[in-house]
Formats: sequence, C-alpha cells, structure tokens
Amino acid sequence: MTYLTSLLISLGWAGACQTSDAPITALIPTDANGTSAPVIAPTTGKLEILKTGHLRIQVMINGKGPFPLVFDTGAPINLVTNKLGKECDLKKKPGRSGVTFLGPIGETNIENLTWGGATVHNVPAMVMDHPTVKLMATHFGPIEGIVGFPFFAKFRMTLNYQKAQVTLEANDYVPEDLLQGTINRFFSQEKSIPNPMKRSFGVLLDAKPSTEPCGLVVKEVLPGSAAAAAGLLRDDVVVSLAGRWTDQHPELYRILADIKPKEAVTLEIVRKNQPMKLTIKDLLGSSDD
Amino acid sequence: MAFTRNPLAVASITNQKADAMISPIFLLFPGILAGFGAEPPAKTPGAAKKEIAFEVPYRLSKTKHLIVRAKIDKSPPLNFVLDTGAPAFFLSKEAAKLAGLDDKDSGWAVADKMEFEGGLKLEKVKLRVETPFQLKGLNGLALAGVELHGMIGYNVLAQFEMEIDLTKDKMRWTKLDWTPPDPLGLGSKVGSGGAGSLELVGSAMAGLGSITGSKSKLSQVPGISGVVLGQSEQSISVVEVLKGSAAESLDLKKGDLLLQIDGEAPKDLAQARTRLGGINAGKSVVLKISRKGREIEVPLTPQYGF
Repeated sequence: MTYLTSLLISLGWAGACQTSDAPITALIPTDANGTSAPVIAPTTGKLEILKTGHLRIQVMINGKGPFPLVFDTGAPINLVTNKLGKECDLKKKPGRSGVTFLGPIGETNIENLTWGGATVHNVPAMVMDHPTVKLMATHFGPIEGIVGFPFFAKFRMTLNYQKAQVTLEANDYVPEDLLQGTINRFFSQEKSIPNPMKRSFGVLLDAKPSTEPCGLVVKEVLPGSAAAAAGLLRDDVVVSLAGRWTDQHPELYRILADIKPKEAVTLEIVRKNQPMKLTIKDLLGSSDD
Repeated sequence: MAFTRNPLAVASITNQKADAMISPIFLLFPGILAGFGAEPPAKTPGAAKKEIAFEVPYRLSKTKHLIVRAKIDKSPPLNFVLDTGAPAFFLSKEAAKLAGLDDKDSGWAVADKMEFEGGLKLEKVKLRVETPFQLKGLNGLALAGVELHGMIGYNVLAQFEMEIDLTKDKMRWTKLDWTPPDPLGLGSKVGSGGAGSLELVGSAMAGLGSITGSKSKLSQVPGISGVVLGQSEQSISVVEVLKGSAAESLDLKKGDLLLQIDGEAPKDLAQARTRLGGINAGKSVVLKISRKGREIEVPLTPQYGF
C-alpha cells in the first residue's frame, strides 16, 4: 500500500486539492495586424503528414516562431518542451510545477497560440519533455510539443489529409480545465453516469443486456407511460435510441441525459427478430418527477 | 476536507508542493510508436462508397478524448479515441478477442468489417492489435468514464475529410477520393525503447484502479424505483406508485410520508428525489415511512429501466 501511495504521489496527483486557478480560455481571433477582431470567415492551416502518419504543424507562440508541433486530436492537453517554454518565456504556475522522473514539469498558460490564421488566447499547456515527443523528434526533425484539445475545441474544424489542410472557424465552445477536472473526479465520489431520472419513459429493463441482437430487453412497459404510447412491448430488444447504440445500461443513460425535454426521438427495436422503428416522446418533460 | 475519505488523497495533501502533473502523460496518445516495428500493411483499408458524407456520433470523455463507437467484425460496440496522434488503428488485445481476431496475439490484422455508430461501414480495415500503456492506465482508473478499446488513427482517418465541432454531438465525415499512403513503421528497436518507463506506470495505474474499484463504477446506473414523491405540508409524501414498478409490489401507498432513506432523513423534497433517483439499479435500500402515525420500514430495490 505504501508503494502504491508513493506511486500516486509521484504521478502528480498531489495537485488534487488545489482549486483551479486556470482562467477560462477566451477566443479572440486575430486579424493580419495581430489585433483582436471577430473573425467571420474560416481560416486555414497547413498540415505536414509525417511518414508515420502523424501531423506536424507550425504554430506561433506569443508572436514567436513558427515552431513545429504535432497536432493530436487524442491529446486532451497542449504540451511544449522545456526548451520551447524557455524560448517563449512561458511562466509555470506556482504550486503546479516541479521535478519528476521525467524531468521538470509544469503548467502554464500560453497567451497567444496561433495556427494559420487562428489564434486562441490564454490557452493552458503543460511544459515537459515528453519521451514520445523526444523520440519523434529524433526521427522526423524538430518537434517541440503537441497541440491538442484546448486549442481545437475552440473551432469548427475540418481536417483533410488529402489537401494537407485544416479549416478553422471559431465556435463558442468553452472547454473546462482538464487537469483539475480529472483530479477532482478521481478523488470525488462523483457518479460516472448522469442521472436521467428527472424524467421517465416508463420502461423497465432486464438487468442483463441481450447480445444477439445487441441491446436491452424490455421487461415491463408501465401503463400510461410514454413507452406504452410509443407502442413498445415486453420482450422487445431496444437496440438504439436517438441514433446511438443501447448495448449496455450505462450507454442508454448517457443517451437519455442528452435528450431534450419533450423531444421526440427514434427508438430502434428488434421484435421477434424483426427490426422496427418507434418514435418516443417523454411525457413528463423535464419536471422534477 | 472533501477528500479525507480517501486515504490516498490524504497522503497527497501533505505533498501537494512536491511536484505535479505527470498524469497528463496518460492522456496523450502519440506514445504509441511503441511496437510499431513490424511490417506495415501493404495496403490501406478499403472503404465505403466514395464522396458520401456520414454523420458519426461521438462523445467527449471526461478526459477530453473524442470517443467514437464501432463494431469490429463480430464484436459488440467498442469505444475508440479519435486520434490523429495514432499512426494506425489500434485495437486492444481484449477487444481483438471480442472481434474474433484472437488468433492474433499482437501485431497487424485485418478486420472484415467495421461499422460505426451512425451507419458508416468500412471493409477490410487494417489494424494493429496492441494495448498501449495509456489505455491500461486510463481504463484501470476508469478516468475516461467509459472503457476504451483502442484508438482510431491515421490509416482510417486519412480516408475522410472530417468536420469536428464540439458544439455538436455528431461529426461529419466525407469519404475522400484518394488512397492515403501507408504509414512507415519505425524500427522495432526505436519503438520498444521509447516508452518503457511509462509502460510500467500504466500497468501500475491499472493495478491501482482495481484497488480503488474505479472500474466497477462504469457499469452502475441509477435505477427506477417507481415512487413519485411530492410535498405535503411539512412532509415529503408518496404521491404516486407507478404500476408495474418495483415499488408497486411493496407495501408503499399513496399518501405515505417519507421519513428516511437508508437511515438518513432527507432535508427537503429535492434532496429526497435526488437520493431516490440516484440509487443504483439492483441495489436495495430501506425506506422508513409513516402511515397514519405508524412508522413502517419498507425495503426497495430500484430496477433497470428508463
């Protein structure tokens, strides 16, 4: 247990109890002069497809650069090397930096991160020498970090490998601070599944999902319920709701959480081996029943 | 202190200045160069009809990964990270077994069919059977909120123009009229050396998860009790018992006053509803009610449903 505890600390969960001081990032696209101006038209950025299929892009950090970074939709954070951090004078946040077995590591905010014609202001980033980034750099020439979610989430993004180009158009999405979110989540007792019980469609299901077809089995349709009105019957297998697969109970609950009150949605079922589509609309609405 | 229930967290508090934030390394996926030394496939996957746009539903995981769902051969729906940082389509070993690709212990394989949620279908999809350490770590601690089965990378993604907008719940993928060049494998020496220490940490995180029980959380959902609560003067009362529900078969009647749920008195109606609605399906609780001045204890087991 001691071993595990120390491992946990070395993993950096130590920051768990601090409140987030990360500001909400705000997008203020820039015009050619670098001054703030609302951008209506989409702007483009270039992609360089490395031989491994990775995408290298050139970004400006606080007006300096361009610097070569990897563009990674699988990266929930931005990351820059310590070298780049120094070069761009990125200040690590006090209390959220230190030295680990991978070398110095810290959290910073980049005031202006620019790719092509698009800039995101005050965007969070990790400063560290990630072994994979190092490895890639030794094979493909300079790579100074990773551009990930906190940047691209701010745009309606169209990614085209064939044209080696990305199109970016500002949206109004506000990402939360990932690190704080993850840490709070790990230590809290927060439920993984949103509770959709603010409404009820009136369906009771078997605890065990069906595998063939993949779905949830109706055990009971409550009389007078939305499900009864939709024509759902006992033993029907619910395979999708609102266009998403209902193969497991948690999946169903996630879908329910996204359905708007009184919204009519399609319920795909299999009844006696026959696929069918029903329309279901919750009758109770969003009241706190 | 909100975290005192967790002994590990207490230990952390005293060390909060020690250092921070290696956790992100598990959230980054470009690390999967590892093991890429085997021969890359000779051809990129075949695909759906050309120049057709598909809506591909996705979900943002708690770890801020874009998750798309797909069935591979005979597998049930699996969860994949949409990952331009992955040089190929990676399928965990466990998932490969579900797909029926289990004769492949590790290495390249070809799935006959891949069906995405939303309807997009691909044929003859090349993929790499491997469980990168990031997946072990994330799944072990259930950090993403769903079990992850792999990453969809370059060799699939490059076939499409992908429109991604976090303000919408579906992506739009348009088949491109080209065959992306195959990714080049790095030498095996390079690949295996790159992430060795991280590999260990990933496994350790997976081990930690089994102790804290994080993973089991993924399968729990709130159940349907069939009890509708309302306010009656100063008390919380049962205003309806849904027919056919768990509650109906119990000694629970309209007009009963709710005193306690599992020994705790809810402070108001909202809290009572939240408590009752938050009980996991299959889990039993005891309701203490008052009927005509008499206190009765009623066991209740909310059921699966919606």
